[in-house]
Amino acid sequence: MSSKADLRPENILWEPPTARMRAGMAQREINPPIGIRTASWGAAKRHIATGIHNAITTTAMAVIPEDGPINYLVTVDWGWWQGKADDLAVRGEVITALGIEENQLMLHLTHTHAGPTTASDVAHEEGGEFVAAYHAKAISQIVAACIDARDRSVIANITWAYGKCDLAVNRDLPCGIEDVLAYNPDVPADDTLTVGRVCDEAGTVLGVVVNYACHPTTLAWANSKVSPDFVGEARLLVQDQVKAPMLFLQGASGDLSPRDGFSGDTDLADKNGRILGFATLAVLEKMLPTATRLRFTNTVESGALLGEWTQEPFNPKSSSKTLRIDVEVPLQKLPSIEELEERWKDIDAGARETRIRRAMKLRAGYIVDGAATHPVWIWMWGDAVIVGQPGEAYSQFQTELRRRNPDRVISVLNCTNGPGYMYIPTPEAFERVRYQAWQTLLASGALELVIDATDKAIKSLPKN
Amino acid sequence: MSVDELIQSAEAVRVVPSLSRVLCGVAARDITPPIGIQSNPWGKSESARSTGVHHPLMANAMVLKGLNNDGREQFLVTLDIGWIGCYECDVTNFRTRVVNELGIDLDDLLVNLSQTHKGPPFCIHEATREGGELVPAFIENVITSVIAICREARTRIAEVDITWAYGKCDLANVRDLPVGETDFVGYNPNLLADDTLTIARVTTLDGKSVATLVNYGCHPTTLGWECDLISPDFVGQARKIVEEKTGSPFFYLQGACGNLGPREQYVGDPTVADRNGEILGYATLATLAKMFPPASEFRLTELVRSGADLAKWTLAAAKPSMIVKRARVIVRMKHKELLSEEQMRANWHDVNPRIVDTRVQKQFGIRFNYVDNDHVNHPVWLWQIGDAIMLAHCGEAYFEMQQELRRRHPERVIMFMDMTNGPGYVYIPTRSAYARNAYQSWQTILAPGSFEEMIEFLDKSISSFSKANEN
Repeated sequence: MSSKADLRPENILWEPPTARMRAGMAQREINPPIGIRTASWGAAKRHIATGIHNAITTTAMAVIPEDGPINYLVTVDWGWWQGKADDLAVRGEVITALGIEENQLMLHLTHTHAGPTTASDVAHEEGGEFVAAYHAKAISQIVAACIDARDRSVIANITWAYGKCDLAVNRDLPCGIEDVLAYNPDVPADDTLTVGRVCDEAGTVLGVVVNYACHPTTLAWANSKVSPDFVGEARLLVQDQVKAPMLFLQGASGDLSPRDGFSGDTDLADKNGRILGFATLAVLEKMLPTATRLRFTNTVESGALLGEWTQEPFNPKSSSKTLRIDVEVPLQKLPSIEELEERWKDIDAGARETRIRRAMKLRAGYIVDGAATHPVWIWMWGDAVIVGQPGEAYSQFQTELRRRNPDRVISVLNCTNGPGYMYIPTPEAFERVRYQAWQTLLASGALELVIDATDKAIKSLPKN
Repeated sequence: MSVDELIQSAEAVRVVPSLSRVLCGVAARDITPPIGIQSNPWGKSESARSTGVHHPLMANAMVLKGLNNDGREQFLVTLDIGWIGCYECDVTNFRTRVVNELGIDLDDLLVNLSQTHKGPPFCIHEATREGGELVPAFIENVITSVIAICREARTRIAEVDITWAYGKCDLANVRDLPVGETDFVGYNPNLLADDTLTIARVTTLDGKSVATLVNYGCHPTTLGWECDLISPDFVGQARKIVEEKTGSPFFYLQGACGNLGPREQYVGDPTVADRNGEILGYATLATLAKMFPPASEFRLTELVRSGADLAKWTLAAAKPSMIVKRARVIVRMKHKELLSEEQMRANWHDVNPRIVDTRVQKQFGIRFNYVDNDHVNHPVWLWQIGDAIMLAHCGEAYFEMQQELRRRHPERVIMFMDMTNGPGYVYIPTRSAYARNAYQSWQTILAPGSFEEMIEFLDKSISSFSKANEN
């Protein structure tokens, strides 16, 4: 070939995954009073908060598509719902106050295990006297953040990227015939970190969405301070840099946790937060400027044959759609209270009571006539898809959806809306004596059904 | 089953990171040359003369010595310099002089070049362009600075703990882009790059940071021919971020990078290099945050019946390895038919004559004391520092080499360094790169298959070298 100047690769454009829509973000602090009931850990000696480590917050994102109703993606630094009544006592109030339909809201809990209780039936327990007033205050702040986010919404470009973070490790450790929840150094963990950067048309960052799967269990029974766990320090680090709210979304972390955890030391939670925070900043640095893509513009004969990619502006996609599916899921044969008492007769009475109460609350409102459906919300924003569901799915949920749909950036959320506040483990987990398999009401095979149905729904979304 | 028996039946009860306890001293010096010096090595550049400084160029030195061996010192030097590519300027004029001054063997010194494409040449024979008159004094200053900082490091020698760890960074991308029937050197969004980031954290026995070694494969080619500043490229900003946090020198050790480069590159804008540096800098800080405290291991210590069955790992004091040793091995590989100058010029008759001159000179510079009949003698240095291995050579290997060696030796952290000592100033591409006629495959004198042979050879070398400890 006489001149190589006209040579071009097969694809001369590389566009980052993006979305263009009206969006706004807002954040509020919702710290509980000292003395409030916490009760995340059966092994704890006392169940009340003695201080605040990092602020408990709620962060709201309002998204107004071109041709549909407003949607709210809201995150709260709380742990998990024990049952439908607790969930609706908060989420139901927020829906009513905002005057929206249930499916317009994804209310997500970041899953801290050092948060105030989410239970609404504990007034008689130690620290329970503070709960009703605190929940009422939190509801008003969640609603206020949503309204703020809506009122501040502007035409925004969202840029998405997958990055990497190795905070999380596998936490199913075989010990003889049983598995215990602990760092298993022999099994690799999903390290995908999904980041969305929301900018206005001038390029000012309005907020950052971070989706990562890792149980916030740095702080455990020896800690009595209220804390968002590692999410707190990660958020401070990122917000300090971008000067806008960070909205954290807990991923499918049923089998994932930090390596260093089950501690009473809040410095350790901060250390774990730095792993996530710095990894997020690295992903943000790698992003192209807002609404910018790369075009292969030139071949250059220098010492080597060089190919030049040049940045150019483009219009991100504004297509959007929201779906809700309800997946029929198989149930285990459920033991009676008496059977549960027999099963756990050898453990400490406090831990036994915690386990039995949790088991019963889980069932209410989820099992109807002996059958259950598991709700999944699927929101498409341009090239991105947000999948939210109430369970604690194993990480295979997200790795498989991402593998099957490489053309979209997918955020996968555990602990979102309800009911269905239970583990969704892989079939292997059911073959072992493993916490996640006996905590859940679901039978082996549920995860595959939820994956297949969600995958099908994603594939039904409009192509960009 | 008792709790202790249950713990003992766990599939894993202990995690010991790669650790070292050795004697170590460090020193650093600014080696930024005067503005105006030749520092634009791109064939495409209009003028090679620099007009300013983006970030300073640095020289760092570390001396390492075993606590209980014969007291031999090993020196690791990093320089924000592109390449040498010439036996005379590398071995004869530079490293031999340094080791003579220090009274050590040639194999006791590793000099890793960051490969910035925005610095002066370190080969006197390349000082042929605008600003070349300032190059001899620059080279002299670097050599005397290296001697000075090695001596300074020696005076600071003290017992340290080194903790080694792998992290992740996705600054690097594959830079072999199929264009028609050949490959151009540019971002290829379709292939996955090696994202391994290898870190060594050096701390005093009371936990104060002494240095951070950062081993990562990525061509520092953010800044291209349109930038006329002197710059360490992305290494500058990464260093700034990490040193601000640790308060101690940041050693960048270029990894296997033959086919890796930043996504955004060949630009004139130094802020892009800073952004690339932030990707590496923040990834380094994230990895440092994940590390265990010095001389620590993790043990499964407690089973707790809570809401769930929980198992607790706790930190425990570990006994770091005190081994410091080194070896040099020679990888014999076949070379291609070597072209005469006339043949090269005929092949490149349609390319700008000045660019052809650069290519021809590079081809001859790499053959000296390297080509041995139909083979080359490719030297590779193996250093064992405690549990970790540093493996260094002068080539630019495709990243699959470090990935494969790490996969085969998961029991220890391996730092894989390109651009270290010479001779062997060649690309080491995979067989498929030859099939695609990629730049790296025609620049190199190695025959196809060399890459694969080198992996097999080094795999065995690592095994026998580390086994020798047990004696």
